[in-house]
Amino acid sequence: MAKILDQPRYKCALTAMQTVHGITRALPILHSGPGCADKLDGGAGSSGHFSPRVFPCTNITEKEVIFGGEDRLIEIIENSLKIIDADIYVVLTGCSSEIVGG
Amino acid sequence: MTINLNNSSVETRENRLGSIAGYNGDLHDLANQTKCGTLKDRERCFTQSSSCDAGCALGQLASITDVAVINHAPSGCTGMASQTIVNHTQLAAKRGIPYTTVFLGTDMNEQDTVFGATESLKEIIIKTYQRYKPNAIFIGTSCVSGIIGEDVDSIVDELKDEIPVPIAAVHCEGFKSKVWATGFDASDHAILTSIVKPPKKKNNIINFKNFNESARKEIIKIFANFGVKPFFLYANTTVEELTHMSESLATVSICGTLGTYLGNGLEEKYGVPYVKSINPLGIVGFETWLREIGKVINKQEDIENYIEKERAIYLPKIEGVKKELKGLRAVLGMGASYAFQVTRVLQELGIEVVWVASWHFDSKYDNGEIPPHIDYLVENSPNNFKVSVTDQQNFEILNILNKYKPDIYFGRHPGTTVWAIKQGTAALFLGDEFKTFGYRGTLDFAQTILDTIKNRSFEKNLAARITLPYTEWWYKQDSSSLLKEEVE
Repeated sequence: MAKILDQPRYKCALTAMQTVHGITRALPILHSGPGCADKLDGGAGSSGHFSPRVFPCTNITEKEVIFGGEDRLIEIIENSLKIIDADIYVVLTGCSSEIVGG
Repeated sequence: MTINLNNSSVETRENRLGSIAGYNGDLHDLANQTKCGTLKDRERCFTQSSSCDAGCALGQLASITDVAVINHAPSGCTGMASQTIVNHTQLAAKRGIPYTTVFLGTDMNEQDTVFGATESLKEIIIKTYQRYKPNAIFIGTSCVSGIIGEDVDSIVDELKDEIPVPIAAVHCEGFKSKVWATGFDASDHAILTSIVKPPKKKNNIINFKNFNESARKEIIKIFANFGVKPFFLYANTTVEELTHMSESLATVSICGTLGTYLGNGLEEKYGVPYVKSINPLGIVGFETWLREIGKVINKQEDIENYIEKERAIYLPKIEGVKKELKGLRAVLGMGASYAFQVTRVLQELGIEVVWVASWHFDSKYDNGEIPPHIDYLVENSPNNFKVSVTDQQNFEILNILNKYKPDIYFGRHPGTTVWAIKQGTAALFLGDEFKTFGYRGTLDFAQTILDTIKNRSFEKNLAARITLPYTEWWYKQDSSSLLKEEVE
């Protein structure tokens, strides 16, 4: 049951992207809404080999919510392999993709 | 008319303003297509993490000093709470005023997703009111509450009798719009529909939409020359102050993207004129804007006297720095208004703008007109520079910088300039929205550019020792090669 979350001290499971980000040359690929990495891995200024703004993401819109986002995820993964220089790519799913079953 | 205050939910920028998030071309093509109505959004077959409208909407509302923001969302979406509250607490401390706003969440989980959580939401709203006694309550929606169809509007209606302060649903589901600036409109919509009251008596105040009121003292001083006072919003405002926005002489905004909904909404509903000129960045922007204000408040003569006096002080100094900036080439990556407005300022300083990356593009504003800074550039830009519309897609920006090798890159969002520097390009982060404001700002901006490009050994040394996240293959492609064909 929903409960009051006052002065929050924890985030959701998709924050696993921080764990992946912590491994050198490991890259999270997000099947999630456009704002998730911004809110979960701190959008501001972070550096290193990758940063949240570099994480590939399906940036789920209304279209994927209604028609499903599997095709979108496939093309994002395929192009991530070509564009981003990483040693391991870890696909993480967010609320929207899990609820719509994509 | 694009603004409908009878609906509880704001229309997206895509639907209201023909906004797009994907484009590649140049200034003249963009302007022509906008005017002909042929401009269409292009999707990408690769995207990096962007931002959502909820961040913009709830961040804006939480900058009011005496409200409660309740995010009807899973815990991760409320992850922005601590940073937002810290930021606004500091802004209030800077002015020495109290800040009691709270940012809470409903911590939705799997069970809520299956069975719904409107009853618990109701209890949370009541508990929040009892615990903090805020002067208004805003309930933000999220991807999850949107997809499972939570009827937040009905809960808000039910509670209006129980809770004695304004309470509003803010429809900002993260998947709703590709343009995060839709979130600004969602916050304005909530303010216009639930907070602003009809005018009782007119005052001598000009509503000033901005982010952090960093030029507050300077603008109070400027406006005093014309017998008017600025009211900066939303940061450091109270609910009571916001109820009186309908009594103001006019509304102005530091940014076209930020101001369009509230400005045009106040004009349509309460007849408060919205100053729709180009924004007060750079010399031409500042003067055009001041003259528009002069017309609205009927103080043309005072404005001309002020302009003449200030020109004499600043223009010779600006001319002095300009000599040293001549011949520099720049690339910009900013929001839809700033990208083009700062381009105008750079051109005034004699810098050649070669590429403008705009985080989205509005085909029109809420008054139905094409953004005025586009028309200005079409008429006055010395060159037809390249334009791309890209929602902070960093891989495209680095590809462009690698190909065009500008002297300097300008960004206005945290974390965007660091990548240019790591690739060896000097970069300037314009986090302060008043950095290029008026004559003083233009001079300050010109000097900061000079500081940034004078010694580039840091960028050079850093670039020589760093690994970049993109493959060699990507740098050989065209920056627009992952844009798909136009969509309807």
